[in-house]
Amino acid sequence: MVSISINEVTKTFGEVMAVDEISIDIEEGELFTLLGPSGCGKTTLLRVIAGFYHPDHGQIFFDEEDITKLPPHKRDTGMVFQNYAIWPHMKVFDNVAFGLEIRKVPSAEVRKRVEAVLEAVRLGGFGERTPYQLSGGQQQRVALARALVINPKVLLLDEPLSNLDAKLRVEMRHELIRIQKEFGTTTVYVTHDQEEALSISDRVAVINLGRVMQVDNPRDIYSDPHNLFVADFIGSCTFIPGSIISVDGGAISIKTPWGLPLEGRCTRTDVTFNKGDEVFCAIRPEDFKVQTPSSPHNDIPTKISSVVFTGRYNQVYADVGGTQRVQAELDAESKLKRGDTLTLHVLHKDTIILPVKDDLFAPRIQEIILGGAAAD
Amino acid sequence: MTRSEATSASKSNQADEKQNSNQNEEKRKKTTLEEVLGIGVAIKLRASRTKSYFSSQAYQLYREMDLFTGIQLISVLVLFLLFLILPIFQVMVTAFQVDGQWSLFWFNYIFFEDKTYFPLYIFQHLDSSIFHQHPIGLILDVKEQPIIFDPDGLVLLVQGVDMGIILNSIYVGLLTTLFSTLIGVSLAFIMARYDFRGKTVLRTLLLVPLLVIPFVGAIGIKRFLSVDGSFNLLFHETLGIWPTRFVLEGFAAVIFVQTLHFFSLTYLSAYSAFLNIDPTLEESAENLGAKGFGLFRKVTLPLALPGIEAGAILTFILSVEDLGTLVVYSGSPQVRKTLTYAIFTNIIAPTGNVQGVATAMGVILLVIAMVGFFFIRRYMSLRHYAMLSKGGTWNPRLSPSKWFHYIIFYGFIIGILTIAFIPHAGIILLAFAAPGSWGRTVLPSHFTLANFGIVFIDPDILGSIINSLVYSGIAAFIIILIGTSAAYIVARKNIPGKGLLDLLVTIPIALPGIVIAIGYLLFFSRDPLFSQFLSPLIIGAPAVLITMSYAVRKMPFTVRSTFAGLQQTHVELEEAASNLGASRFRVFRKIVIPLIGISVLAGAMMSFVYCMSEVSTSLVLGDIAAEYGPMTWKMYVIYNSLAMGPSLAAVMGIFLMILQIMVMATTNVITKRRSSALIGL
Repeated sequence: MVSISINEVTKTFGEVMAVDEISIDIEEGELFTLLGPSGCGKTTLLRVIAGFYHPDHGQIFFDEEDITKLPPHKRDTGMVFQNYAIWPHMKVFDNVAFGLEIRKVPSAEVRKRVEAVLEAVRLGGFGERTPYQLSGGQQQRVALARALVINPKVLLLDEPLSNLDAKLRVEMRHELIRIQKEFGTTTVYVTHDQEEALSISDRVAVINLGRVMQVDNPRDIYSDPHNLFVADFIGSCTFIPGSIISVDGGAISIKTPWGLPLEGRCTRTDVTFNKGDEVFCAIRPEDFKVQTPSSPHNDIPTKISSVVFTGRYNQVYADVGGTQRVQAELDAESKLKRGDTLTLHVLHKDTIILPVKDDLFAPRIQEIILGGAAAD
Repeated sequence: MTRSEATSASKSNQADEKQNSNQNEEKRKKTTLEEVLGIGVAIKLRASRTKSYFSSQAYQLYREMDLFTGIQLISVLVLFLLFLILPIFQVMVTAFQVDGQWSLFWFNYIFFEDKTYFPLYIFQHLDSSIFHQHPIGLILDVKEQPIIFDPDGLVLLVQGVDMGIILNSIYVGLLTTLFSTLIGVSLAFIMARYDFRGKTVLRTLLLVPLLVIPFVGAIGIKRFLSVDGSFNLLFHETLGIWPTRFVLEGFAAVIFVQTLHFFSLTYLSAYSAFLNIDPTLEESAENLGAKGFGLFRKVTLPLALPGIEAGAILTFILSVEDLGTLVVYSGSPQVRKTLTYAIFTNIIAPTGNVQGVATAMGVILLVIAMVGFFFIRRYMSLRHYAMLSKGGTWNPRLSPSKWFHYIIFYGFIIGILTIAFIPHAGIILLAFAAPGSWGRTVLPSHFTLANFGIVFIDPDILGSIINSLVYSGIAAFIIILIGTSAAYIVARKNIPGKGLLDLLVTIPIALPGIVIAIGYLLFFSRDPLFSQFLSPLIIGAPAVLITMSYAVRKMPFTVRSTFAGLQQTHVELEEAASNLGASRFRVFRKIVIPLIGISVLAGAMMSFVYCMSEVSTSLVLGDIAAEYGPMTWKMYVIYNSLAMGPSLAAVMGIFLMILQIMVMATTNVITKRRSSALIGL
């Protein structure tokens, strides 16, 4: 078991900056996820850790050892590839035993360890099968067993569940957590699926355009997004443009396009707001309430423009003041229809105020707001 | 450096930059904030990065080049440098020199002085009044009539015109290309777009012309279409259907022989071009109202055109560099006036003496071939080939055939095939004809197996066959080692100049063999270190050169096949092994070779059979020392020197045919791949 330290790693492909000075520290035994949209650089970073890419700048440390210049086969990592990379010309047993044979483990012990690890991934007795006889989920577990059997310093998982069907994917999440905790191996997990990332990880790094947007535990990533990208990428949010009226300790008041003020909080400690600063307010759809809550809250007068029943809730688009659309998930019981006027309530603690200044994602949010208002 | 040293060294570098690790830690935190915060900061950071860009590139190269890859790359480069680049370079240097001084003498001689090479010398006297009186006669210097009718003997002789050595080669190549393409594309369209009974059989039969190289085919056709050949005896004398005796000589015969071989090549490349058209492209045109010939002209043909062009240009190159047909028809004075033949006769191989004029002609031939090659370079590249062999995953558009289609298709295809089988028929009859039994008769009067007996008993002939088997076998072995390495580097390694390596291993298909051969004579005779390769006094000496020329020239077939195999094998399979601790060499041996072995084997077999039937370098290098002469050289020698030579050469031709059938059948079974692998396109 080792800790991993990624220090200012940069990797370019021609003109494209795939990884842009990323620094992350991953603790011993942690299941750490790199989450981001496709092309954000997360797989590149994983392959830099595995040694398949060499960074243009920066270093990778396993504990105190700088492994940046080590070739892949000397790094002692176990990687599970997106397509599993099960060798079609070898039986399951030989696939799993490969790493041990390279390490010159005596054959009796090889047999023992391979059988044990196949047992652990619930593939006991599958050793003599050929890869063609395995289902996708089974291949995925062979790949995992092959990586784990060598007791690697670090386990690297590159979208290991993306090729499985939806139900199996959810099942395998539990399996992965169980196995990872059982082996206790420091694990770096790459995925573009935010639900998967939030459900399995100890900590998550959200990555966009080759940069780290936020590193936190899943709960904080969801409830306390640090910037517009994270707020938009994780779950979904209604964004409301505004400007600061007053700042009173943690409580921030902003002016909204429809005139009424909103009160909320900031998730960042490194930002100070001044009166008149442009901000965006981000509110999760499930945080809009129809009933008046007892805690301090904001009231938003809306006119419903569409209602879609989804089973668990009603998805409601409602307009505020003509230029703003909010997206809310309301109780499926509520009898709402297009054209109704409705006052929505949001707790102050659920109203997140994020700065616009220096956020590269701000123009994109502006577009989303305009797009929402222009949809009718 | 040990690992700990490396670590401390890299740490001290780090320390240089950042003074100490505390500050480093601080900077790390700051960077994260900067990333969140800002554009301006990011731009500043980018600017500071560029300065170490080059050192990082160099390091990238160093990293990609582990020991194993390094050995692979260096062996590829050394082989091609020594046995391809330097010899050809030597030809170019020599062509521009006279007595060791730089000079354009030979080119001036060819283009402006000696009209046997290039008759446009008349441009120097453009004001001459004679020019206006008989322009064609003067420019082309036509002494021979292209078609001669002799009323006394009732003989119609078709031979073509002499335009001087350079233009002869070009126009013969162009006409061969034109006829081959017309026939090939028509066949390809029928086979790719229509469904009819017997199609599978016809598709297999259409590959048969490839079995006979032009050299062997020419022997068969020459016998068949001579004044007293079977054709005239049967159709003119016996049946009286044909009004005159018909004789094909000179360039007309060359074009005929080459077309019968190369239409298969244009057919295969056009066929795969038609099959690779996404059917929805044609369907959407139909949906908008296009049909019939309009659809073909506006949509299908433009989409298939690049593939058709590639086949046509390759045909042109191969036709221009072909020597085999020319040596068979060298009895005709005009055939001797072609680039390859003229180079061939200006060499005295045993002494390594190459006339200056031959090197200049070599350069001209090289330029013609290279101009063609660069038009189709993209199509010859490994990447494109691998794409083709993967493509065609959709169901091709096939129309059912109506009765009149049957008449047209069967009439056309069977007509073509009948003519295309003349060389095969001629060869087989020659091989079984008893000595002197095939005079003025349609068929030989006595059949015998004696010719086979002679070929496989005569120590000289048998020796040449064994030579060829040994050379081709060793060449195939070298091809496997080097070709697999080259394909692997191009497919998997990210090194600068990879495109050049791709070019280097695909270009030999288009390099004229005779130019390589004179390159060897010049380069190896001038270098004291290597001159022993040429000396017949040293045992086995010329054999090395012949083997290496085979290895270099026929390498592309294996490289292509291997590359396609690598493209179909996901790179993650190798990375997984590397990740588990396997070294480069081990990954190659345990993962790569088992996975692509079949593709390598198929390619190597193809290369082997093409080595066996190689003609142009064999004829030149075989002359160095008779005992080391390969089989095709021996065929040429006995064809010209013995009365029963044609029969013996025919037997050897049949041997080549059988070898090729076996290889084609085997590779088809083991790879299930399209036959386009056969032609190098």
